[in-house]
Amino acid sequence: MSSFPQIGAGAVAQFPLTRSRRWRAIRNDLESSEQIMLPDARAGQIEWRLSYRDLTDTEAGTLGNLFAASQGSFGAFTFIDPLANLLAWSEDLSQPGWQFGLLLKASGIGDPLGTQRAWSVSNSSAASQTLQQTVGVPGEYVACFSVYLRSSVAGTVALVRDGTQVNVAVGPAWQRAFVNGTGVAGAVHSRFSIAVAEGQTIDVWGLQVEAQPYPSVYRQTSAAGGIYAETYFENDELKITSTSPGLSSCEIGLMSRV
Amino acid sequence: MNFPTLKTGAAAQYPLDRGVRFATQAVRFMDGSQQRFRLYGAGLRRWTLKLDMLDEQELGAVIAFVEQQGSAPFAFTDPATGAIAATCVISGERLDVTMKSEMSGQTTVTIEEIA
Repeated sequence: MSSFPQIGAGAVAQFPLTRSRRWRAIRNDLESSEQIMLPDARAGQIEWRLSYRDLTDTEAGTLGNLFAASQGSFGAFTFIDPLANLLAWSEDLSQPGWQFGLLLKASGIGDPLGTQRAWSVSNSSAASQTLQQTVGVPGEYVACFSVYLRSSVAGTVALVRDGTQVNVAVGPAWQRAFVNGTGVAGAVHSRFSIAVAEGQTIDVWGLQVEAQPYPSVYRQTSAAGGIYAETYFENDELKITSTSPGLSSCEIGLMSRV
Repeated sequence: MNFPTLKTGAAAQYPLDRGVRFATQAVRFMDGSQQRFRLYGAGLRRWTLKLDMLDEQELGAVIAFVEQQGSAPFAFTDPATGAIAATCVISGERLDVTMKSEMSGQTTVTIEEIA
């Protein structure tokens, strides 16, 4: 399964970007004027309008290659929502999507917003342990894993995306840290983790994974979303405009089944 | 016969619209699922040449080409890639040209690959 390409340093889209969510309900109108409506969950879809400006020949070629490989609107590919936090249950670390190892966790900790939505994570074991989640982000995709961190005892925490690790210093004040880059070439999933050293206790909040190189505003999530494996080009024609030497623009419409 | 180039040797000016098109028939079923059918064997390319500031000779060459070619197919060299599309026609069965003033002719020609 191919994926919609990133452009530039790892952006999926440029501004302006339009996302239209559509639902369908099955409705029965009874003689009594009563209506019975049932959600038709399988018919849900998201329409995307992507506008690209100043694409290099390589970027325009990559988009054209995906269009040719998909044979217009015939074949499906994976599209990752550029507006989404791709982690599931970003504020409920007790959900099964999170893997803890031997870490101990506690909820209800004060967060940077002044509410009590942060978690305390402590490692009482004799070796480093990780808090991690695996997400269906292809290994070739540039992604950014970000989190707000705090620790009453100054120390270092490692943020990891597959083989890429960034060590960040933590102290008593909340700070946002991130790791970015690509993962393992050819992999269909990526693992994002926080490594907590033995004997260390940290507070975490605002965990976020995005399909772009740098973090944007944190968005709380529940069930996993944002990765649409069944996405089609909306039209059977892709028009690319050469605007000047080596630069092109184009408008692309996509339809993702939800 | 080849599509005429301008005096500079270029076949097109900026902005150049180019595209590739397929044909797919999608059937959507009552349960929300879909089945898709491919109607073309391969993608067919299309170019829209917006030519401006042409002199009489350049504009005349375009007119002459269209007059001679009519709806007959011809080979066209993709101005962006240099690849040759062997079987193309002028789209829309129509050519509008404007001569705004001396040395200032303009026309838009859409060429589409048909096989």
